[in-house]
Amino acid sequence: MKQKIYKLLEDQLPLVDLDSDRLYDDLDSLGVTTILMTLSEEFDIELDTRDATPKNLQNLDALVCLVEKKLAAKGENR
Amino acid sequence: MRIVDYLQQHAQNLPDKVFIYQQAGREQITYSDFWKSVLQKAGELKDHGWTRGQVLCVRASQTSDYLVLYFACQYLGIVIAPLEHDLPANKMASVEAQVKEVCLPEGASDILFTTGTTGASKGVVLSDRSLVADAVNLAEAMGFHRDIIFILNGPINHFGNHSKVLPIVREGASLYLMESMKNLEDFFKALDFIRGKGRAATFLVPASIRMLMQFSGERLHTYCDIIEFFETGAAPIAQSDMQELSRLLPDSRLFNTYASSETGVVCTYNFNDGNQFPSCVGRPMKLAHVELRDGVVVCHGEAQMMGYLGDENLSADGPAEIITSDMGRWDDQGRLYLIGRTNDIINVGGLKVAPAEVEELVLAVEGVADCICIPVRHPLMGFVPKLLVVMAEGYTLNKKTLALYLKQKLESYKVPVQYEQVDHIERTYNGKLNRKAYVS
Repeated sequence: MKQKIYKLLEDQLPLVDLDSDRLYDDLDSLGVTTILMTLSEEFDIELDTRDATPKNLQNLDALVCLVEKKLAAKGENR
Repeated sequence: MRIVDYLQQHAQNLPDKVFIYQQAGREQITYSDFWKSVLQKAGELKDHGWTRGQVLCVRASQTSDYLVLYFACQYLGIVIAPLEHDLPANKMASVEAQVKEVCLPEGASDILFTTGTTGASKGVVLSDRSLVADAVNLAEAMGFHRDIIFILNGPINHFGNHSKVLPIVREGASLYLMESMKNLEDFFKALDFIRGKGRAATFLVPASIRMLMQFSGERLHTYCDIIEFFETGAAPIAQSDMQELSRLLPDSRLFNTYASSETGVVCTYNFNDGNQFPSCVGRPMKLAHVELRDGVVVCHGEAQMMGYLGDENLSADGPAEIITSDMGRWDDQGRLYLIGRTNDIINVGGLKVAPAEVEELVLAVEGVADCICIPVRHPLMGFVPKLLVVMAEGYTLNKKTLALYLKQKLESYKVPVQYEQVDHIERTYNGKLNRKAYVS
């Protein structure tokens, strides 16, 4: 999943260092929204502004955790 | 009366009224304390040799420190040139050189830099009179009043945000300063903070409105009782977004405004009227005059600029009229509709990008044979810049390297988001870039 997210975001955010542990700091408002939109579309999960925290967007591993948590919650709700 | 004179008046008459909330409301500055800081800063500027008519360039920020400096300059008659917070050092130096020996007309107050069609930034010189006219136009058309707490959430050197400080000060209202809309939670925290203290209002570019509605629309609805008005502008807003926002905030005034640094604030349309006419920017404001000449919007009025920095026609009275790059039409109720542009500027969520500025930099990169910067549609921003590049033989386009190089030279919103290596670029018979061939 990490590779998939990397590939998706690499095309959308050419200026951002996706290997960084300070990913959130590198993003502007468009960058944050692009990540939310890309992940919610690709994984069919619901994300809202409460999910766009510095912790959830700290690095790629944190994004993977966020997606996995949302997918698990979605599975439980079915 | 200048805007700074209103500030002084409120410091005397409303000393305990809060002018600025910042740090998520933890810091509150009254009109009285703010005025003391302005006088202290003015003293420091004088001590450092700053005098009336000189131009002070500064990277602007949504902080009380910047606003203190801004009003200290206005108090002393120093002309302030607020610049992008992330302006690269080479561009900052270039602007400082541009303003160093310049002679400005009496009454000049601010210089706002905008994107020129050729790629070079143009300094728009505003006067004390034009700032007051903007304040009058906005206050009367939108209903600013003393209980308004205005959430300022975008770059304060951009006219859309800069102009809102003016009616706030004129009316003795309050500002809530936010760094940006990057963390949308901060926007909701601002609304939570305002609840019980006053009435909320803000300016948001259409992209930010769409972001809010997409990720927290129903939550926004829960604040409909405290939101007095939202204003948008700087880029077209989709009719579907106007309809959805009207549904979420049924009792708020929702304005789509037509304004620019050059013309000042000109027209506005409260689209929460059951119609949500697409592209409508409403009727001219009190101190603005608008006409259409061969379909092109032409403006004049007290809010307009004195002229461009370095222009021989720069004068205290300003140009007789300003011929914009916008195409318009009227309806039978006297409302203006914007229907297109007459130049190549790319509007990225309200921020203007001159493709020529990007292309000039890219052509100087080793291995680049030709290029064109074009607008491509984006679900949030409306348009974003895309770069098409022809590489010389033996070279391959490295998107990341090129993007990072441009980031060092340009403000970040001007850096293309998409890159594509192509075999050739379309040009016209006389060798000019054929931009029309790339219109989608």
